[in-house]
Amino acid sequence: MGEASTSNRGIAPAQAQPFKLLLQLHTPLVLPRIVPRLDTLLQEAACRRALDWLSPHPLPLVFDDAQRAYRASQLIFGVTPQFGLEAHTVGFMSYLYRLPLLAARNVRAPLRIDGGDWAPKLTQHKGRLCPYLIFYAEGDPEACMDLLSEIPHIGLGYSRGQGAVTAMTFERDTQACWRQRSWRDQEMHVGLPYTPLADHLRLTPWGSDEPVYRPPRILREVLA
Amino acid sequence: MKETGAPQSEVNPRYRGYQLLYRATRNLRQSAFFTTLTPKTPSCACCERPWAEVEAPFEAVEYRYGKNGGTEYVCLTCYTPRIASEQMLGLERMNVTGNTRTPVYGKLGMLVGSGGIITPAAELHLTLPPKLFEKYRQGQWGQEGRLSTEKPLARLLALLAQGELDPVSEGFVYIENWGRKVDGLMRHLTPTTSLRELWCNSESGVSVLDLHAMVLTAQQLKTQGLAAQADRIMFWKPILDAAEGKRDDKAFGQWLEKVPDPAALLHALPTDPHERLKLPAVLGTVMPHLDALLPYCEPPAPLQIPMVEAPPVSRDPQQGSLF
Repeated sequence: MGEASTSNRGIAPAQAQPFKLLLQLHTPLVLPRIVPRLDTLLQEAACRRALDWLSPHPLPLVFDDAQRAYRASQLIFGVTPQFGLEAHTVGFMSYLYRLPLLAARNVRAPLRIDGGDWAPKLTQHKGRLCPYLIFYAEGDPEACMDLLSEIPHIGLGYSRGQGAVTAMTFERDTQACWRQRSWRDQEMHVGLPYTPLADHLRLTPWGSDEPVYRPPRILREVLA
Repeated sequence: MKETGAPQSEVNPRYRGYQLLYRATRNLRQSAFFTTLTPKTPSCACCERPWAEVEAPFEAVEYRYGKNGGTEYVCLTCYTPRIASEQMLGLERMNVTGNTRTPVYGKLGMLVGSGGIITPAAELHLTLPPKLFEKYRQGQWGQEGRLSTEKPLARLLALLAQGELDPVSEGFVYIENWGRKVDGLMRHLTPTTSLRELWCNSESGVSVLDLHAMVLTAQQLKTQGLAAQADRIMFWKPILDAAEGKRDDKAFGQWLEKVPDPAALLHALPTDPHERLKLPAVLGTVMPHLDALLPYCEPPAPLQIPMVEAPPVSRDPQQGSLF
């Protein structure tokens, strides 16, 4: 995972175009602590396609050499005049780092289907539902849509049916809206309709945490 | 800036919450009996930080969930809420078994319905329900005046208004509910460095509240002469219903007539529907401290170009641009 191989990441700007990717959202999405970006989703999709989670894969996006990050926005909720952003409470088992019954030393302890008194039970998570998800990026939109078919679910609870998505269509973007992601420079956010926040995040799927300025977690855009 | 506020450049600033809790509870650990050992695992079983990066590096405490649980090695910070402290909190109850009466002392991780705030200077403030407050007022924290019976958010806003949390960018910790499940609380203990994202830690995980937008909403209500309506659920009903996906265009139309400048008020509302559901509860707490909180907020941005089309909104409710 060295920095030496970053030069061949991404595609040449000459072959790329700025685009707006539209995905249909079918079930409530539970956002993780860090909001997904198009490049992190594509990285996961490429890993799944290659069945290889150890090596970095080239993505069909433009790699911004000055900022050392892909030109790909974070997730934006797309609402319509008929359907807005809705709050849904989703209950599922939270992260279990150990099965207590398998680690049990007293084998005659009563076996219970819910894991016993000390195991985590269903936790209420905050799901959000709206008709569309939007990503902006600069790259090859058809290759992105092809790769995204590997990702049927986004966010927490992706293996339990939460955040089911279908990549639908793309259109050309003229406003450079791919800037709606974390950057080292605050100037990258100038002209966008929010106030950037200081945070510590990794800029690429393979980097390490560093000080960045990022958009708010919930971005919403009205689709005509 | 935030990065200069970190005491060591090596430490991830996201661990600031753990550092503050560790510093604020130093006395609690000094007066407690427990043995530490060198762990054999790669990271703390609770917060999953490598042993080199926790506050007391390579010091672990053995812990078991119940008599059947396997042994876990947790870092001192994650173990702190499980320490029973006679000196800092006091007697919780007497455990009666036959003729034997054993004292059980209070723990931070057994304060159900209680909140906590740790200031950037690592001062701990606890908010307890009245019965727990009476129980623990003789302890050292009670004697130091760190306990109160306010609601956690009300205490947080009071501290903010007093300037105890300055500078906010250095990070403070807001614990909404200590609860009974320490692992759920400590797994993602998140510090708050901006009022735009107030991280509410609780036993069931961490959630975000946009306090900045809440204060601006309260300010809008005050300027429009609706301050008395701030905590009334009936006033917010059309907004709350829409946030849950139950739209009623007729009720929303009536609501638009009640509000003098609906476009400005709707522009100030938080974006997240989960936060909109909390509007009456949070605004009721924000209103008494509004004047002291306004200096922490930037003035609202002028209405964006799409929002200039708000007058058609008030004539024909197009809820899509608002929800």
